[in-house]
Amino acid sequence: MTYSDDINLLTRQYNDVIRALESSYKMENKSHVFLSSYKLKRQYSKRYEALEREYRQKCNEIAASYKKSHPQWAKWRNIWIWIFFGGFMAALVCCGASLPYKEGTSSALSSYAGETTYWNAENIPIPYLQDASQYVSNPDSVLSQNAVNRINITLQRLEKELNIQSAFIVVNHIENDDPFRMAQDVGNKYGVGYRNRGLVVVVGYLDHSINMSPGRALEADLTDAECHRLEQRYVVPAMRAEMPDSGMVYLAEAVYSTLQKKELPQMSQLSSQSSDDDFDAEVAIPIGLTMLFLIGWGLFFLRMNTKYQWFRLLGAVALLPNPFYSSSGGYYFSSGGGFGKGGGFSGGGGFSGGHFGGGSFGGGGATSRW
Amino acid sequence: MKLNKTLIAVIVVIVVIGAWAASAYNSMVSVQEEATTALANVQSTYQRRADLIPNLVETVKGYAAHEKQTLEDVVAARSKATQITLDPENMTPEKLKEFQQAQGELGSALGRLIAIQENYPDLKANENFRDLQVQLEGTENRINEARNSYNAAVQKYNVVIRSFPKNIFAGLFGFSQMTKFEAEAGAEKAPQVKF
Repeated sequence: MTYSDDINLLTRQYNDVIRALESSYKMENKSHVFLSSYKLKRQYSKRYEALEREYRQKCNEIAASYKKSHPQWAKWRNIWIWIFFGGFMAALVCCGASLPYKEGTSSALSSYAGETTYWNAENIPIPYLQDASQYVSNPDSVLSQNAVNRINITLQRLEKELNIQSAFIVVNHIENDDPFRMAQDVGNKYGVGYRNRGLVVVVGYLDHSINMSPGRALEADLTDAECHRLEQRYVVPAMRAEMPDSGMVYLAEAVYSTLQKKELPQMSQLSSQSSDDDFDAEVAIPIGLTMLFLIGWGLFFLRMNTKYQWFRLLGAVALLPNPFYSSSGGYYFSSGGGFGKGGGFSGGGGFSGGHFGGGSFGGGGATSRW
Repeated sequence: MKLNKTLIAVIVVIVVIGAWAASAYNSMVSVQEEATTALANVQSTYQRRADLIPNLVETVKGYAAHEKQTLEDVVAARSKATQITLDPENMTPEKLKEFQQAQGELGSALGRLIAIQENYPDLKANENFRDLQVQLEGTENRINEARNSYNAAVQKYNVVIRSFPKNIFAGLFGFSQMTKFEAEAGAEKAPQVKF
């Protein structure tokens, strides 16, 4: 006999006892000799509960004895439950990782997350001072990490090839809604730029403003008019379409191309409507594939469950519920093995901080609003 | 022997005072130079604004030739403003005030010139005009930054020459206080440069 047959036999035996108990209750209730109906019901209910405890104990004894007499079965029962759990978790993780990030959602969330911060040159974090490869300050998470990485790569090329230091600051709100003041103060306070060839860009995303401020010696290469044109061509349309990532990535590329005297990048047509459609398709595919996998995995689990009986489902004999309560009982599950805890993660290495070149800013550049 | 010791002491005191005086003089010269350089930067930025005006006038003429009075006012204000320069050696509060007044009049005339774009959509849409407006805004920013830098340099200079004991040497060597730029009347209202 299999484990399942043993449990089913035991369950049938106890169900017979429960039916006998129920008949005894009905007979006693008709006579109303000794106790009131309610008290009689309570008495029989307690007897049912005692029977249920005895039944569970015997189920556990059968399970233990079966595991002892069938060690290979018990071993593979544990292994398979881990495999099923691992497969389920892996499917969820892969689904989550493959879901695309939608621009603008984090900034909206962060603006509701707590107190609004109005940034200025004194309280804005400057990551470049801790890590010389980080040119973007994004404390409100307006930009995605992917966009930040791309901008950092471009600005690093700008520094290595043209010796121009830069700082891109993208926040939700700027103190006094004055991005020009903030750019000048940041540039002068930290001395962005070698030999006055620095560039500071400040964006107030929810303020709808941007300022580009070149250093004194960079003004001839990046004139006020040029700054304004770059803002109008790349940043303003993207921000109006609620795509800050695209706007800032393209702006960084355009600044690099302008200073390298190369052709400016072509910005693809921006439309928040089409991006929503693309986004929906990109979400549906991973979720759809995950659901298909989980359905297949679940069917495979049910197939294996007939052998290993982690849960007593279809075809199993269930213990009768307590007939002496008004609410009905549920099915009885025999539990399988437990699960251990996973390990932790080790941290990454450190980065060397950068230092700015002592540049100064004289008020040049341009400001745009959308 | 006693006379020699006294003589040596006197010489030492004179040398120390002389060295101290030289050090004080040099530091006052240094901060004064910073202030005069800052003043030169201010004038440079005002000149930059003045240099934009001919191009601006020509662009506007192409679209709004009959705004004759406004154009003439700008040209006249520019001419007056460029004639008044500031000499750090002979700068007085009155001369600075006169300079500021002239620049203020030029600023007002420019503001009226820019404002006429509202009546001329073609002018408003002209790329050259928009570029000039951007440059004008940038120049105004530069003027403000230069004035702030000048005022900071003057403050530093004034503190040095007024602090004891350097104020003794300042009077001896002819270092006098410099005047800062004051805010112009109506400056509390930021000029609107609309695109």
